[in-house]
Amino acid sequence: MAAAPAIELEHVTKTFTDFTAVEDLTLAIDDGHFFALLGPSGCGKTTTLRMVGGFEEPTAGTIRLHGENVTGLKPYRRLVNTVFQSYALFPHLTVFENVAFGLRRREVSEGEVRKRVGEVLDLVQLTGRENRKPRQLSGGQQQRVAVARALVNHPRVLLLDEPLGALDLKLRKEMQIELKRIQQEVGITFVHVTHDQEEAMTMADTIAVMHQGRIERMGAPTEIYEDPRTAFVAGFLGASNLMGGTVDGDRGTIALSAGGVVYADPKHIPAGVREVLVGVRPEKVSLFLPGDETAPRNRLRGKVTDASFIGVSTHYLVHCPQVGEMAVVVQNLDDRRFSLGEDVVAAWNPDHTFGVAG
Amino acid sequence: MMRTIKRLLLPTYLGFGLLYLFLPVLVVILFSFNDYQGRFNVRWQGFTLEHWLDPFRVEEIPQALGVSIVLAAVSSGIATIIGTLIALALTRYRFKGRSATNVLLFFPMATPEVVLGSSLLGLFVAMGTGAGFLTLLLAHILFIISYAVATIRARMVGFDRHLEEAAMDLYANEWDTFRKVTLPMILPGVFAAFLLGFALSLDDFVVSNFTAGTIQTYPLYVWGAARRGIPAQVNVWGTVIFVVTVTVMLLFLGAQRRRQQRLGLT
Repeated sequence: MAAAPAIELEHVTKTFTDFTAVEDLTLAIDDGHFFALLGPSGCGKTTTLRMVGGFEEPTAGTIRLHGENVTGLKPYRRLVNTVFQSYALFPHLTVFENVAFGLRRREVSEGEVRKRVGEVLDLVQLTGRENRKPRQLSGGQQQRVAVARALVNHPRVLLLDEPLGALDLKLRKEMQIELKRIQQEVGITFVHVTHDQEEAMTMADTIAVMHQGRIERMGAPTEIYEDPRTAFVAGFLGASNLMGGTVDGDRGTIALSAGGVVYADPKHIPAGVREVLVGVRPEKVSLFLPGDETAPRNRLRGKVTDASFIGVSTHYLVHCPQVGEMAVVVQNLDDRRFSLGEDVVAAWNPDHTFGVAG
Repeated sequence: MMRTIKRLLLPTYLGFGLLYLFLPVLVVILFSFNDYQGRFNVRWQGFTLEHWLDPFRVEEIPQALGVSIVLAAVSSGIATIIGTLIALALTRYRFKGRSATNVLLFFPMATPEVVLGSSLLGLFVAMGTGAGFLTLLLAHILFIISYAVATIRARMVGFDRHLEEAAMDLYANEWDTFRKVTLPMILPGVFAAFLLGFALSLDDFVVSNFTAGTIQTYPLYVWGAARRGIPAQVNVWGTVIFVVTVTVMLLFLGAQRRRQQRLGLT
């Protein structure tokens, strides 16, 4: 028999007095994964995490950790640890005592406490700061203390509630790599809550996109990016050009409502629906001069209405009579740039077309 | 000319203000050294250390002072504990009657002491308990609680609830969480509440006068003695109380400042 998943949620619902934060959520996270719960604020991702940690009780449903039903158990009876958004470091205790807090509660011997705190401070590269108070540390260092304080207890699951939200962009990028390294080193399950799609894609091997208390799409970052399946995911995870249309019998061609056709790989078009939104990512679209026969099969004529040079790429807005504004991102590989008002053909490979239920 | 006046205006104003505040205290201290004749220590007649060398000459004074100190310590101690719990409940939980509690807590502060004292006496008489140390204690706890709650609650504003969640996440049960995280965080407020309550109790005359029965606190003794002539030992002990209070307050402020520096708050 396969080992039980690290975390299982079964038909979990959480209702507060005036709204439902999480609705009938069923989810299994396997051991050793870096799992991201991604969604806009108010989508229920933090509530989900807090239910796993034991800070909120589900209104209905069951939560299991490694097969053990923990629904209704107090946080201190669960073998998970949390890194809070505000870090929640104890301001009256030193870095050492902050990290040692969990071990002391479990009456680990003094020698063992010293050894383990030393090891974990080494892991987060804070050796030598043991006697500082949290407020004497920088934001990034406080963040590391919060991670160390959780990891020192050797939890089987680490919960991270928007842990990088308070850091500036550069530090956030560094900590993303750092957290990923730590996760690979300790090999335990990380569940990371974030509203930053780039952060989720950088760190996680599995992403669940949440929307209005439900999981809209779950899978590997590439998989859900290339085939988002719902309009919400297509818009939240990266940018998309979406156009309304009607599916042909074999799902290989879609007739656009405004005229013209778009070709697609049938496996990326939802079955059993006629009205769909077809989409393509801006970086999958290229611009060609009208009449250029080397352009891929999906072709829409238009006029350049905006061009912004960003260094590595140029971002165009192309007005196509059939679909409206299309965003196009072109790598700056050669000197050919299109200017405002120029007539162009926006074209892409049918493999890059995806469809979401309209 | 105008500039000189402007420059001197504020220090002069401050000087008069401080004089107004401290002159009575200085008179108390000064007259503890007065070599007075007869019963009334009201006119300066010469310097002596006599009263300071024999502070226990009037036995009632140390006795009354002892009662006052025990009363202040016990009533403020109990009121601080209850006040801490009330403050925690009021800042933490949304419960039925929460806003009613907020209003009711204000009553003992707003009620004139004379009314509070006489009503309490009426209550104690009606209940047939009589009046004594216990009724005195109950009355003092009653009026200190409001101040204790107000002081501690001010300290708890901005307390990050995630700290307690973090403690529980790190295997601390409710009691350990309170002991290791909540209490150390609010301790300065709790301590300030205790000191304030202690001072209020030590100083109280009106409520004590109604509820003490035959017990004599220090203020009650002084009031009684005023008609017969107050002995200079009252000034001696008054000076001692003043000095001790000021010292404790300075120590407390110093400790607060060191604590803030330790936490890197400044």
